[in-house]
Amino acid sequence: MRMNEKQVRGRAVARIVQYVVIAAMFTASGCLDQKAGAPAIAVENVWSRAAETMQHSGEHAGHSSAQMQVNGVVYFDLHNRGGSPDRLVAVSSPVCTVAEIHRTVMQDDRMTMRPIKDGVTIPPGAKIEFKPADYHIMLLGLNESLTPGMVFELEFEFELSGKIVTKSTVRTP
Amino acid sequence: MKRKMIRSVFMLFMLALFACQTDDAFRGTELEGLPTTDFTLTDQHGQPFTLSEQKGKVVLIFFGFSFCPDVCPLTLSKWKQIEKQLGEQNSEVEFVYITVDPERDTQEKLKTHLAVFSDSFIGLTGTPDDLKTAYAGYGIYREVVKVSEGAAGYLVNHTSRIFVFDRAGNWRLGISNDSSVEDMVHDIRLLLKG
Repeated sequence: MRMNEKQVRGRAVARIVQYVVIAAMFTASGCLDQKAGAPAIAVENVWSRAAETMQHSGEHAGHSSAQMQVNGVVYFDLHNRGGSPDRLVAVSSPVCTVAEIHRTVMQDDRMTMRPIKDGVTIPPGAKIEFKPADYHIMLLGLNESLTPGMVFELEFEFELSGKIVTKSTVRTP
Repeated sequence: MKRKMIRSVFMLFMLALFACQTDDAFRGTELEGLPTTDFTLTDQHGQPFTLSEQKGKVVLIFFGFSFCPDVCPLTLSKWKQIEKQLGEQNSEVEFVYITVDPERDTQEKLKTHLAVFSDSFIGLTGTPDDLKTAYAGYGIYREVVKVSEGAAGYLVNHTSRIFVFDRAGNWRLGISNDSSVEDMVHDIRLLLKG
């Protein structure tokens, strides 16, 4: 059946209205998110210090796994540009067995370091620096040496924002 | 007019004098009259190291452990920069790292770890008794904190101050490890001057 000009025009208008409604819904959902104040997390300035693993050779025969274990570190900035807090709960990387959130606390001339098991909360609008002698990610049991210039993958897990995959660059120590 | 000029010259003189005095003062904490405890430990190449045999050189000592990812390597990074800034004077300075984790810091481990920073750094370990002498002599706080199961699951909280000895072998300074590289180089140069 052939449509007349009126019907064709009507369909075109209906389609335009449909697109406008869909676009409006997308925009509204964005607005709603902002109104609810969703967190907007950025992981920036990610770097690690160089570290050399022990070669598995005859030279080290008799060494225990703890004596062979070499660790690394990751530093970065966590920026929350959103409207509500979020929490860094875990980090992982293929270069190590386990990655843990740690914090160094200096008390006079005493250095104490402890794992932060509850994660780190980033308030809205805040920037938290993971830096030497403060918060850091400890890479336990490196599978390979971290050589200057090398870039490796890290996966950050946030309570609300979910997973963020980024890369760390190894700096000359 | 003449009086004004005299006053200005006098003030400039006083300012210059003040600047000189400040530059000749140590930026670390001066320790007068504290006894130096001698010790002999073994370096990462298996050679004995005795503190009293280092006379003629300025010696920096830091107590740390290779398992530590943060403050200990940060100190070694600073030492590396100090080494670079000292240039030729570097041959008159010894950088000594004594482990607070002898269970895991074998000679080979210290060798691998320190080589990342500098081949000239000395890494020391030893028997529990010999290490105890060094720890006790310098009032080293050392606390093993279990963080998870297994031999790898502990950290060692420890004193982070850097101990500095002059050419005569006297324990002269305590420098906070968060001091700037410039301040540390300044103090080392003052000690080298004599």
